[in-house]
Amino acid sequence: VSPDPQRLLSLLEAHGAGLHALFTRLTLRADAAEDLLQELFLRLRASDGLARADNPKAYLFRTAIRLAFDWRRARRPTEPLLTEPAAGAESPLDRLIGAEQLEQVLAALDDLSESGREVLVLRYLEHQEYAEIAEQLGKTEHQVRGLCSKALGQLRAAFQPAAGEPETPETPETRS
Amino acid sequence: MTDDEVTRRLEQLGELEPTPEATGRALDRVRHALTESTQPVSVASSPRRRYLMRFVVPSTAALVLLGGAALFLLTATPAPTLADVVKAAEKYKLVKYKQTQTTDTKDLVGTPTESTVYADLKAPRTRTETPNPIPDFADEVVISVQDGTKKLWLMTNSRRKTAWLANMPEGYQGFLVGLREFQQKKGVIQVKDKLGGVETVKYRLEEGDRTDSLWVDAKTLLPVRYELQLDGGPNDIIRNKIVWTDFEWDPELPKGFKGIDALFDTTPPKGYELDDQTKKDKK
Repeated sequence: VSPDPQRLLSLLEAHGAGLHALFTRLTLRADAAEDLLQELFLRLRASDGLARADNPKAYLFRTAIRLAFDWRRARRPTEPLLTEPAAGAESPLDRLIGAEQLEQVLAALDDLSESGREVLVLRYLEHQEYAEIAEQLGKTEHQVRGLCSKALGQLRAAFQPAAGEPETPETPETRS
Repeated sequence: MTDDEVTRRLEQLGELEPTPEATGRALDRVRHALTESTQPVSVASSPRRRYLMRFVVPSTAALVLLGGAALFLLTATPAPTLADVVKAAEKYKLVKYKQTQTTDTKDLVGTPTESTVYADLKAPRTRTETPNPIPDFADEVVISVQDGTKKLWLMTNSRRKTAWLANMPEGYQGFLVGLREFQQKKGVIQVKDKLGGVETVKYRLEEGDRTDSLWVDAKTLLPVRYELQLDGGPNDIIRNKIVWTDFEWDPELPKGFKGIDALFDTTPPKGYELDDQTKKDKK
């Protein structure tokens, strides 16, 4: 049973801004965030997943995370970083340094298991408490903490230099 | 990147916030999509496909504003007719606007590709400038000049220094002729609408796999936005959407152009390798 338009509009009013922010964080692009928000709700309209979901908000955000990483996979590796600002000239995005590292972190997140990725996104990008994440994922808080710790470890490992490789590139200044 | 840096980058991602304007625009778009009777699907295309699809744009854009059966007014109060819009546009010589095209395929979400278009309002001539959005190719601009008077179509690539010249395909009409034809079509739905705080009249026509929507400023009667949506296409393309915005009427000519004719010149630039399809056509 597809959700009725009124219900979708209510969900849009309640969670649309949060979902748009999430898409912006996961794509680093304003145009993509806008496209994906529309794509999400059109997909919801066409499927019965939301009608069967016990926790509509959790279903929305988890579907959004999947959609954003699907988008990232489809674009890799030809799309440039932040070619279009995700927000206006005075946005926080413009003030951020190290956009490339943000992109690297997002790429590394994509290499994690789906549950690990979801936990890190909900914890760090959505600022949710462990208990809230546990409820959304249908797990215990203890399990979520474990998942988070493991996923964070994997993410950190992805940025460790390989054996024998210097941690920072050698320059004339660092060379002894 | 150290462990702390990884955590810090995650936290930085969480601090990113779109502007309220961007969020408002995105929410409006979804509200509109959910309440529309049709079901537009936004899906993505690869940068390469989008770039290639630009070459489809000139012909489709030239054929815009065509339509179907009996004018149907939804509003009770008198509103400007498309004939009034044509009259308002006819007062000008040149119009410049931004063209955004999104090509959607079955599997990929589309990302807009932008061009700057100049349309001659006294002759069927159009110039479309499309820069390559990929940074490594930032110096690449594809310029397409269509001249319906000379029946010539020139396309140049600034990076490759190549020029392609061909006879104009049948059906090219230019901006005003397209508008006049839209005026004569039947089945156009006319409603009041508000666009960016401006009172507008929206004309909408659905016909087969295409939908045309035109917004005109209720005061000046000049077009302020135009959308063409074509559903379906080859190679898994499920939708092609072209949007015209940022209209400027009688704008300043770009630097280096002394007159309107220079803007629509179909002479291949010196030093460019020419592929002259007109000679092949004659043979």
